[in-house]
Amino acid sequence: MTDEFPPPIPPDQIAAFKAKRRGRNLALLIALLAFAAIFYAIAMVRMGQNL
Amino acid sequence: MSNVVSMMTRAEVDEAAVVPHDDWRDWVTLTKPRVMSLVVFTGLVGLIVAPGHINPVLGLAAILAIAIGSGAAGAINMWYDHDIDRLMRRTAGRPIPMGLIAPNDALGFGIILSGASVGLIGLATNWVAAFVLALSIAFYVGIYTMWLKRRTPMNIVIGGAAGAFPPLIGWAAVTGHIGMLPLLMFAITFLWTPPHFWSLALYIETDYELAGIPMLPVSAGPRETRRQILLYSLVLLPVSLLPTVLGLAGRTYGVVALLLGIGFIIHALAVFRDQADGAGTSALNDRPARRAFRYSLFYLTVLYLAFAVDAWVRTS
Repeated sequence: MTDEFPPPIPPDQIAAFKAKRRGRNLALLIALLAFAAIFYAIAMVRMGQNL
Repeated sequence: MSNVVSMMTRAEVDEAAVVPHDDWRDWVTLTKPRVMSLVVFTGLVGLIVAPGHINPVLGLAAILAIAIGSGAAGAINMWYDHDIDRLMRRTAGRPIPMGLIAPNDALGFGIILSGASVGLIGLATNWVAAFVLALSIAFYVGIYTMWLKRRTPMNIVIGGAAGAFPPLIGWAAVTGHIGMLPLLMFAITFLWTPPHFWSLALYIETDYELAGIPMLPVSAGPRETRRQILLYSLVLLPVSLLPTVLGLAGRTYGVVALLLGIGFIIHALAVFRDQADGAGTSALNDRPARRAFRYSLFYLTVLYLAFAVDAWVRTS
C-alpha cells in the first residue's frame, strides 16, 4: 500500500524549483510591462497621426 | 512545505533538479543573437532606403518586431534540431543539447515570440509587413528547418531565402507594399547565402556528416562545393549591380558593390584553387575557405551600409 506513494521530494529540489519559478515569473512580468509600454507608445503615436 | 509540494507536479520538481539554474542568458542564446544582429541590420536598411517617412517610435517598434521574429524562428529551429545539434561541435553548446532548457519550453517560447512579433509589427505599421514577417518565420521553420535541411543538399539554396526577407519587411513597414529595390536586396542576400554557408561547411564538413545533414560538401564533395561557391560569386556581382543599373540606387552604391563583388570573386577563386587532389581536399588546411567565410560577412555588412549611405546621399 505504501508503495503507491511517491518518495518525498528533497528540500533542495523544492528550493531549486521555487527559485526557477520565481525567476521566470519575474522575467514574464518585465516582458509584459515592456510590451504594455510599447503598445501604449504605438497607440499614442497612431492616434496622434489620425488627428 | 506541504503546500509547496501540493502546488507542483512531480515532473516539474524533477525538471528543477535536472536544470538547477534558469539563466536568462540561455534564453537569449536560444534566439541566435548573432543571426538576429544581421537580420536587424538588413531590416533597418530596408526601412531606411524606403521612400516616405515613418514615425521613429513606429520604426523602432518595427525593428524590434523583426528582432523578436528572428529570435522566435531561431528558438523553434533549436527546438526542432536539438537531436542533431548535440552531434556537432558548433552546436553542441546550445541550451537544449546542454540540458539547460527543456525542448518544449523552447518551442513554447518560440511560438509566443512569433505571435508577439507579427502582432507588434502589424499594429505598429501595417499588415503587409506583418504578413512578410510571418512568411519569413514560416519559411525558416517550415521550409528550411523541417523540410529541406535534412533532405537535400540544396537546403541552404532555397532555405536561405528566409534570411533574405528582412529588407522586404523594413520596406513594407514604411510603404505598405513591396518595391523593386527590396526585391533586388532579397535577391542579393539570397545569392550571397549559399557561398557564405558552403565556405563554413567546407571546414566543418565532418560535423555535418556525423549529424547526417546533406550539406553540399558531404553529398557532392568538396570539389563540387568549391565550384558552386565560385559560380554563385560570379552571379552575385552582376545582380548586386542591378540597383544602380536600373536607377534604383546611385553611383555610391554601385562603386562599393563593384569593388566588394570583385573581392568576393577573388576569395571564391582562392577557395576553388585550394585543391590537393581530384576530390577537392584542401591543400592549405582550408585557410581560403575560412577567409572567404569571414569576407562574406564583411561583404554583406558593407554592401548594406552602402545602400543606406547611398539613400542618404541621394535624399540630402
